[in-house]
Amino acid sequence: MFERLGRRRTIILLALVSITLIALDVRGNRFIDHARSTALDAAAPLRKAGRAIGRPFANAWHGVTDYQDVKSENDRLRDQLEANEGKQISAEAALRDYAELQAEAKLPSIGNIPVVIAQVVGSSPSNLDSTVEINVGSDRGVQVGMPVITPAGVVGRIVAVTPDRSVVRLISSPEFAVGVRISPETDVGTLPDVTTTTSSTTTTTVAPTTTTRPRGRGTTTTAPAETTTTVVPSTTTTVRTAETGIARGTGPGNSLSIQLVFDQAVVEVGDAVVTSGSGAGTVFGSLFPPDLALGRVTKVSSNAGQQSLRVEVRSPIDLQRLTFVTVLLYSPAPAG
Amino acid sequence: MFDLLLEGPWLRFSVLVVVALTVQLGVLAEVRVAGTTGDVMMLLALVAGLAGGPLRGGVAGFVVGLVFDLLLLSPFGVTALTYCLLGYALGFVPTEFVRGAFWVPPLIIFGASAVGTVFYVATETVFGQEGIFTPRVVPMALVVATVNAVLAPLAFRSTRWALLGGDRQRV
Repeated sequence: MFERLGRRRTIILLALVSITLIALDVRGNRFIDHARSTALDAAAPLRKAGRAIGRPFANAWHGVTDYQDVKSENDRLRDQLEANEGKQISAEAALRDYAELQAEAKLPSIGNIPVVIAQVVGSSPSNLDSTVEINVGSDRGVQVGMPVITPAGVVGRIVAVTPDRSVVRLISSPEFAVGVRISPETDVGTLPDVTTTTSSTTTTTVAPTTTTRPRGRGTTTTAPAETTTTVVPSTTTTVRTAETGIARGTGPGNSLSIQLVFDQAVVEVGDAVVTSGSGAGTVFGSLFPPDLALGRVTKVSSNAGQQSLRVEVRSPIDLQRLTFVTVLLYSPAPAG
Repeated sequence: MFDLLLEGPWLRFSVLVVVALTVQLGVLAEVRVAGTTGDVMMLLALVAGLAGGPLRGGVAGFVVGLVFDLLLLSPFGVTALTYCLLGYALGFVPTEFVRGAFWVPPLIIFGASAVGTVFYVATETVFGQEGIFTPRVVPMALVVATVNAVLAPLAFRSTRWALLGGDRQRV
């Protein structure tokens, strides 16, 4: 058939079919979604077989290329572990207080969200998709949009689900976006968001002086009390308030970028970045509960010509070495 | 169209597609250089054009791309369009080059894979994928080109056997 059509017409026909499929998918097509879901399930045995065959090669490759990095990282982590042990004690105390306050104020807590633990069974087959595949799906309650985390913080969001598998879009993907809050770096135990102004007035009173002349010689004179008032100049201590914005991925291995931070905002390197949980019902951020760790600010720069700051955030998670993740079975409250 | 699909060459080529998919999903996805992996699906489309000519290259590229699209999150059909055009374009390489010295096909595949990767990213960007056309495309293209060039001799022989069989000519 193709030879009867001719080369050029065949290629034009195939190109038109491709463009038609693209247009259908962009508008949302259930047949294509179902086909993709079926293909994901059908490819699972191929992926498993491929990993079994390729594991020795992959291990040899990583052993050769990653040895020095692993050694250096091991040394760095030992030092970091020692430094963090002290902070952990204070942090646990602060968390207990926080949980009590939440319970008293009847605020939602991440501890109350049901979770599913999942194993990462595959990476993205393409260089352009920043995704991983996990071995839980809709039969465990997983739905599209649910957040995925590890103990170190946010990993990504569920974007495709089959009965027993799901695909997670990672935070490094340019398609990933979430509402965030940038919290100033403070020592554990310091109350945030407080501005205190102190001034004091010191009043010194000197007791009255009494002069007594000998008997018969005159009157008793009493000098009045002297009062001295000293005013100590006021001191103002301001702890920086949290800023909000939208964090987006910028590609594998790159930092996340936060936009919509106004140039009057005070953001410093080292500030902690967590999910804001705001914007329920909107496209950004509404699918994540608040206070999930995203990373720390590594760079702050002004956008030329725009009244905003560009903030770069580095996640502590190595997205290329994920083994187990946690899916939060979280659905935000509807807007309005 | 269906008579062509049922003939031996396309049945053999289907087996090649399954093998390539297994390698892509299970082996290459786990072995990355600078966060980039090879693309044997693109390699299959390119060698189909090199071995079978523009028509077979275009059709094979379309089929391979469509199968790959089923497993990706990008708009369905973008990979099919890209690989179809790449397979078609590589089919115009003169036969004398294809049957020349042993190092010629890998060299052609290296160049075609590098250009093809940039073209693929550009096509994805045109159809709505944001934030992927960055300087990172350059190392990505080099890694894909290198991996494809290394695998090119084996892929070329396999595809030529699958599509051409005995004495069939490039079309």
